[in-house]
Amino acid sequence: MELLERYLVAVRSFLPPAQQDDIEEELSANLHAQMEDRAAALGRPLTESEQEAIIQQHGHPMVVAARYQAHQGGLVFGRQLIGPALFPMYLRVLWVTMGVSVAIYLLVRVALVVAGNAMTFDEMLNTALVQLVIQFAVVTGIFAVADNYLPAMEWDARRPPVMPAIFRQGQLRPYLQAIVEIAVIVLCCYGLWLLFTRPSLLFGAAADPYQPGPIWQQVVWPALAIALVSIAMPIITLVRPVWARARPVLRLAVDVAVLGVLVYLALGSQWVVLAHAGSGSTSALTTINAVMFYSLRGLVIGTVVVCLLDGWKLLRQTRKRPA
Amino acid sequence: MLDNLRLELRRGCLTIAVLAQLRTEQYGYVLRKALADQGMEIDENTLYPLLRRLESQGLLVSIWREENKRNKRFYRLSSEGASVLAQLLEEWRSIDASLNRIIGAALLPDGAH
Repeated sequence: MELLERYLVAVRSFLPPAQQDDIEEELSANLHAQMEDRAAALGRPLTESEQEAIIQQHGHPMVVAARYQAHQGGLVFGRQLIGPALFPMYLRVLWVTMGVSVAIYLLVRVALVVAGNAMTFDEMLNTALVQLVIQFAVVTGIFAVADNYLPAMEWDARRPPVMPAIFRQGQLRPYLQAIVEIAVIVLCCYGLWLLFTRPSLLFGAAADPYQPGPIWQQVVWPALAIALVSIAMPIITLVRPVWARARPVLRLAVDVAVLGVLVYLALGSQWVVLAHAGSGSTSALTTINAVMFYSLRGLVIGTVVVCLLDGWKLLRQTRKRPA
Repeated sequence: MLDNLRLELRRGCLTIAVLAQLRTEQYGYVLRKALADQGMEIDENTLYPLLRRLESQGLLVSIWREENKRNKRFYRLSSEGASVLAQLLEEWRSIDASLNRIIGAALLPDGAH
């Protein structure tokens, strides 16, 4: 009964992960019983087209799975626009598209501000809201049309439609987590680059007389290597999920590398120097370096805590693994 | 329009029909057949999720058992379900009596209205 198995796999793909095994087994028992009953009534095994007919009559996998949703939610505006069958997917797509739009919008805004194209808060809010409203309208429109078409949608019982892996519950999170991690690392690197090349953009004209000390040049390459490994980690575990087990080890290695860089910096001095002789106030320079002194030590302590926590997590994970 | 109204009327009776039928233990497909044999046709995509919902509400209990080399989920009424069914049947009889008074029909000797 390969047709039936294929159909059950398709229904399963639309179900919440926690319920998949249970519902699939129950559906399998009921549909097998129906087919066996029919075969007994005919006095012979069912042909493939007879099996297809039973499966077709049972319903589209997405519609069948939707009936098992605990919350039969939908979007109603006067009349139902999006029913329970498509509503969970609609919410996930809406969340992803609006989330990505907001992230890109913020990145572009930051880049424009840095380039000198400032915008008032009102203007930013207006453009952001217009974007979000357009996103919402487009996604809702597409799903409302799809929902209207769904009851009459033709589908092939020999090749039942399956939910794309990226939209399945629990599948989307790793992708989004990876995007967020990479975006945060890139933003941090960009912020650090600004700090060392254009500090006045961050701190105003008051930062002009000062510049980072030579000690920072000695940690550029290690810091860059750490950033590249940090960006590579989520990408690799998405592309090669079997390597996800190595991720806690890599994360701990990155933590230790960051600790090493911070300790090196903390043991140094003159983190900020005058840009030109006599360009700034020596008392202000002393204050800045004092702040750096305590900040770096604070970061070292914080990173030690992070190393210990990640080390503890790794140890627990290693103990839990079966022999 | 009549089909929709008929569907609504049947939908309102589904739960009581399922609870009443599950005074004896049955699994999904057999339950559907039993209800259909007694004139209560239910779409399988309505019945099977309904059984799970009733179980999550504590009105049914289920058990997996192997039958004919296949694992099947057998449902039956829980003690709370029996109590709720009794109350629903009371409500049903009350509605039936009210409707009869409203319609004002008298049974003819041959049982027709």
